[in-house]
Amino acid sequence: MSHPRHWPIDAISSVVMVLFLVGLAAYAAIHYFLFLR
Amino acid sequence: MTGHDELLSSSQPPLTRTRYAKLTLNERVGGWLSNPKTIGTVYGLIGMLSFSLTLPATRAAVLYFDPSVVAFGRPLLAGLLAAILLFVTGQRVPPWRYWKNFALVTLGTGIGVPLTFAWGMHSLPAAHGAITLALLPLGTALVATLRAGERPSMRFWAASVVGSAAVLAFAEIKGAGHIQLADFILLLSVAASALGYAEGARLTRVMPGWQVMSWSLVMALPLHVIPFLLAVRAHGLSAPTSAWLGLIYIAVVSQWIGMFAWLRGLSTGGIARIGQLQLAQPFCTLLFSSLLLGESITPAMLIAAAVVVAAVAVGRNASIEVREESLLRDDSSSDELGSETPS
Repeated sequence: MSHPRHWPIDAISSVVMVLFLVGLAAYAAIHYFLFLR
Repeated sequence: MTGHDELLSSSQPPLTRTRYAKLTLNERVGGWLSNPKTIGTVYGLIGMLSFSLTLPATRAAVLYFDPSVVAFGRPLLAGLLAAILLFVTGQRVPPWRYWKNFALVTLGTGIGVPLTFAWGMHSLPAAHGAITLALLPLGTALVATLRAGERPSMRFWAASVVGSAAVLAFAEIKGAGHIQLADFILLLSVAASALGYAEGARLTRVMPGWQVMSWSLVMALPLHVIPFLLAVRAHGLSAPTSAWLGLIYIAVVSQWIGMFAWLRGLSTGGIARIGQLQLAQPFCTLLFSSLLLGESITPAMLIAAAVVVAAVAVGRNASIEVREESLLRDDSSSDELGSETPS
């Protein structure tokens, strides 16, 4: 196991958040063009 | 040799995380992608975009849950998850000398924000939420000046005031209307957030942001257990999936994971500077709302958003001095930086 200080959780969580936000934006855009436009 | 290596090789005495933070706040170090201002902005944007969904998620939750269940459940759930993460990764309790700083982060983000936000959303129209976001970057810069030793230039303060005025004007158009006595709650919310952000970012210069946020939530845990159980006993926990998703989002993302990126952004790019990104938050919230709920985007919103983007851009390039004596002492040998890039 690596030293406790070096778990790159800031970076991993940021990548997860970016994927989530991109996914949500894509869903929102599709939803907008299919149902709201 | 990159600018980062040059900085490391030219530095005397040994370069610690705090000293690196001071040296690089206004310097162009390395290429565009490895520049602390760019890295801080990227992390800050991820945090700000995560927070832009807090308002709709809170509204989804308080539609069915009592505000007290949301106010105490949010930090409780986040604190339990934080405790599990700290345990699984085998973290040691932070050194005693940082406990005063942790107490301030806990007071701000772990206690002040959840309570004032749920209270404010309960007693004020939703448009007033934008008032908080208009004043928060100024509050963050003020606390950064008082607590973290940052000395933003006049150019920075001018840009910040213009940006805040644009968001306030927009909130007025959106129907925030007359300032009520209950708006005092929002000022408390601004003070709590600003304190938590600036103090959390100070700590993030000596340990990773995820540990700062996780430890401060764990420290707040005992305070939330009994009020939460009393709230659940009085109001129950039955709610549809949408309300649960809202509560889970504000606990896991707004209160916890979003703060990892936000604190790292503030500490890397400068607390006052990166804090300005929150001026754009109401517009990102409305953009998501317009795509998902069909809320219309008005010309006033576009004008206010353009003023905010200009103000943030001017503030981003304004210089910020840091008084080294205000940086947290970080003298353990494991914190010295060799060829490792600081986090």
